[in-house]
Amino acid sequence: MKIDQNLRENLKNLIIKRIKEDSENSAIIETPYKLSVDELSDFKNKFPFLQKCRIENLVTDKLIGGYVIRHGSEIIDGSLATRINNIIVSLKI
Amino acid sequence: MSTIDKIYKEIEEEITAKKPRVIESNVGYITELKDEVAFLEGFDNVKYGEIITFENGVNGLVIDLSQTSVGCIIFGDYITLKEGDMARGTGKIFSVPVGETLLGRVINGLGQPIDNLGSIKSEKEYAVERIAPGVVYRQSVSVALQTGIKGIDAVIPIGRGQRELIIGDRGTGKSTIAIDTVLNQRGQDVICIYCVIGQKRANTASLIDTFRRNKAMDYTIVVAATASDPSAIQFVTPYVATAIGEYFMDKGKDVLIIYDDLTKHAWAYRQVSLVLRRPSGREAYPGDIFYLHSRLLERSCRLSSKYGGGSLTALPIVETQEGDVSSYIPTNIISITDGQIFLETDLFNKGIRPAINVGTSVSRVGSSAQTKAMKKVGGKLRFDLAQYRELASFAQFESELDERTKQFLDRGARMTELLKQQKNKTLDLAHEVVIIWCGINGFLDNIPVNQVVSFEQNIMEYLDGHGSKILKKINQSKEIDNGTEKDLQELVKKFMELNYKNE
Repeated sequence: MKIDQNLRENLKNLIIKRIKEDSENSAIIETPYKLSVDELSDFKNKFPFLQKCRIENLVTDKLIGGYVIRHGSEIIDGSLATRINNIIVSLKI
Repeated sequence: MSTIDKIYKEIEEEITAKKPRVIESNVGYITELKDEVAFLEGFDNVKYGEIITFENGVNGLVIDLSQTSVGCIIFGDYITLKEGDMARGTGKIFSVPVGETLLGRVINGLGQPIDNLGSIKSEKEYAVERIAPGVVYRQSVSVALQTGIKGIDAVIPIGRGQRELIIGDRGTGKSTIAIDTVLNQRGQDVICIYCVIGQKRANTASLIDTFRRNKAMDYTIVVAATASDPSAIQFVTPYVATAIGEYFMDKGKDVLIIYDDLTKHAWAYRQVSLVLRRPSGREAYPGDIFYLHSRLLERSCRLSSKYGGGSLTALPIVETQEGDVSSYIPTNIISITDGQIFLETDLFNKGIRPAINVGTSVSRVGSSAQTKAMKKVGGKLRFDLAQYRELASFAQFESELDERTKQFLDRGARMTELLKQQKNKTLDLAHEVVIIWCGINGFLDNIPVNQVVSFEQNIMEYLDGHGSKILKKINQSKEIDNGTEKDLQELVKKFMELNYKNE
């Protein structure tokens, strides 16, 4: 099937824009266990931008402890795994 | 306290220290990994030239941005990385630590020490890529940079702030000229930076050894990316070296920087560009290969006294294949620089070392920086040599020569012999001037050509003993006035009578 070049460009831009908007309005909170409602509201108080976002809670034991918030390409990393990794890297050099 | 206790305490301090436990950063993920190059996606906010860090602690430099993906070169171990790995943007433009503490050190292309002398402490950082100083900041070249090599100082003078290319085939003594120039800067208040790009590690080690033996490390920094370092690091090394040089220049100091060599630099950039899938042009070099070198060499200049009066002199080295100076990289760099020193294999094999072809070598701005003393003797020398070259090509065909022609040929042969100089044995201004003065005033005319070198040795010894006053005067005033010339004439005459009376 042949698609018009302009149409293809427009479609691409539209999709990219959609994805961007979508990622701006949603956030993922990764934690080692499922957050309770109280904990979730604590998060919202601490990081005001979360109030506008659709929040998804992802449970992963890779973090060991702490939390990771993903919001678009930004990441707020308060996990134990990253801190341990930083120590490993700093010892290597 | 034992070492273990110390480490224990440090760890304890580290853990109890109140550091921000949350890291906020901008991240992307590797979608494609190639030799020394990675493509990433997911970055919303990353700058061109920004440093990003991978999870294994290796840094990358963003040099390719498109609508959806980011291309970066990786400084270090890329084998442990894999597709899907995260990278964090640091928000920092690529910069290196600079300062006086770097003097006497050997560092790699990222500014890290590689000489086992401990870490380098410095307070300041300079951006690696910087736009060259503008027109108002500059002044024309006016002070000479003494290389300590007779042939160069007399005929192809180099000024502080100039860019003089050293070009020739492999094994013609390009690096030797550069090394000798560094050795000669001792006590001249010039800071030297020797930038090694893609050379053998053994050569680099012997280079550093030469510097150490001649006590040249006190004022020298070696920035080395050898052949076994990744191309990505080889590509940034000359810019890092220049950034360090700019720090000293901004402090009002004179800096000499040697890029050894830019052919390998072009190769490294070609490799990186091809892996990044940039369109290739002539000889598979990317389109911006000219700007690669012009933006580097434009950064060397002489600042006007209003802005500190520092200078950055560049001696780039380029290797040619089979003497072909018209290939891509040599022609580019010849057109950027303020002159070139041609070295030829033929001359080298004939025993003329340094193998400088005085006919084709030029210095476009250096003559205005030449010292008065050297100008006085150098002009005549250049004339004698030019005459000699012209006549020598004719004399090959004619068997009978008139007296005058013969005289020129004899003079020329002795002058050529006079410009020979041994490796790592540089001369100060006075010695250079005096020996050339002897040549142009005909003192050598009665000495057989094969004895010129020993004559040079003898007269230097004699002058060191009996004429130290004259030498000192020339070195201080940097010119030969009539009085000095008269004294010198008497002294040399005396020497000739003592040693070469029968001939």
